[in-house]
Amino acid sequence: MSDIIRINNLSFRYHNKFVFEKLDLSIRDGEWLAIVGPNGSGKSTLVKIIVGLLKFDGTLIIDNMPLSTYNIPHIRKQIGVVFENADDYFIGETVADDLAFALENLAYSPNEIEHMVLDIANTFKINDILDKDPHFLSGGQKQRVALAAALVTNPKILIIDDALAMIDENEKEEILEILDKLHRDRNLTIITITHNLAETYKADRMIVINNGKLIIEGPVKAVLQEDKIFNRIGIEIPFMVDLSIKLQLYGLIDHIILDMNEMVNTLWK
Amino acid sequence: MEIRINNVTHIYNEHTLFEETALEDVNLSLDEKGIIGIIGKSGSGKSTLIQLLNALIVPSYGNVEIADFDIKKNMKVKNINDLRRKVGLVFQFPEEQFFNPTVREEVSFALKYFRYKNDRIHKQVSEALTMVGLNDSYLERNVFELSSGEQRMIAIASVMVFNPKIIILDEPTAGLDYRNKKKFMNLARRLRDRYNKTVIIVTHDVDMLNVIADHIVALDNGKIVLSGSKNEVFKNATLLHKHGLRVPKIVEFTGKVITEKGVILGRHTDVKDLIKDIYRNV
Repeated sequence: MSDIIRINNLSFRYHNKFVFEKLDLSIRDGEWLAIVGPNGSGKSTLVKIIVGLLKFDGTLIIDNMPLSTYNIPHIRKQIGVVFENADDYFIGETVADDLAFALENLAYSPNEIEHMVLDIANTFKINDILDKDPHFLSGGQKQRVALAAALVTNPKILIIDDALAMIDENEKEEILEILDKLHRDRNLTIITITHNLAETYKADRMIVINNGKLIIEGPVKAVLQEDKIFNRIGIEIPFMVDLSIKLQLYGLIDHIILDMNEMVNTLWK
Repeated sequence: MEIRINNVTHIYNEHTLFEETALEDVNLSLDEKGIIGIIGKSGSGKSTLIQLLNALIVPSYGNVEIADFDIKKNMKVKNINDLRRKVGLVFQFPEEQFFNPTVREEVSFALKYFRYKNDRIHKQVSEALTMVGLNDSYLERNVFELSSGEQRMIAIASVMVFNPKIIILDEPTAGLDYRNKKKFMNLARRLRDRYNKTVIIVTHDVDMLNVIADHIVALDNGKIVLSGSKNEVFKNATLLHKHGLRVPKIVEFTGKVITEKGVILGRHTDVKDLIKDIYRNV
């Protein structure tokens, strides 16, 4: 599998202080990568660098193109980004208008637009709110609309920057299921930026950054074992991970179990 | 003293095409002490309820008795400022409302607005910073250059500066990492235990409430579906689930063990205690 994003020797300074110093990171095409770190660790700065909003030193190659002033329009078409406050980014008066906005700018025909809007609305189960004003939806519905708007143009990469933080658990699980399906069926590359480890369970790989430095990376379940690192940098350890790690110390299980039913059936066979 | 909500109905845009009932015939009595958690899905009426508690809005029908005030339609406007000094309200992401350059100016803004004298302003700002776990060394710092956790505390201090009897916080841990969330949890306990405040928290973080709250109120569709101690409320997992709410993970786990395996584990808020209990019972 080839790399869709390759970062080499990236440095970025803010107020003469290094946020990133000589960072190297590769993301494979079709990979789901979780980037975890506490507030102020540099996670969101990295997103802004990837979408070309901040100037930096080093090399950043996205979809085989080095990020430069000339390439930014092409590269941005390959990336959908969703932030925490969806309200700040709604443009249309209705959900349908909002979903159609990017397609209209890319000069799709009205027929194509209708087809693509309905298709993405089906995926995110928002068909019944297409005529509603997005500002007056519930938090979960707003994020579904924001995700649908980010993906309606079929970008190769989706970046979710703390976008699920304010959504209740049930809604969050449903949205993560939808994203997991898109990741598998359409080979969508997903980058989740979060400080909530429970949002990383479906990812293929996790990297943890603190003070602009990559401190650990690996398959999600392997990284989740590193409770001492998470405690040190102030990341909350979710209940099932905490339970798994402590039960391993007591010799009651031998690996991380994230599913509660599986845990109960393993402990009481 | 109690906070009493009597037959309160609140209708936005009443008698118009856009009429919407946010709360319907709500009755609630709360002891004016401790940490009270308010939970409910988006649109359940949580925000309307807390705005009624300091008269940002007034009930369409019924009344609210809080801190010796009686909030009802057509109440006397001259009392409202006094009420707001006794019942503080911290909005969601309060730091987004900063508009003063320094901590001193931000925290003292409301005192100056109400023409407090300088020595009193200095004293109350200092006390408010102490309450939220900060100190005078922050006074001349730029609020926009503080960490997100510190900004949240400064925003809370801006409300605590009146030393309110009751403080209401809307999603106070939203966007904060665990280190800052723990600081907030300690703050809530400190306000209750050391300063004898009533702390009302609107949140979707039931796991946090399981650790710090004394009382939980669950709302759905403008009505109270459950109200009681956290143990009383969280033992109703099926009912909460029906209303789109969940119980804390640790409660869900012990509930599943009882239902599916017939093994009774104790009620715990700490995983370490749960592990010992599991060890004894597997």
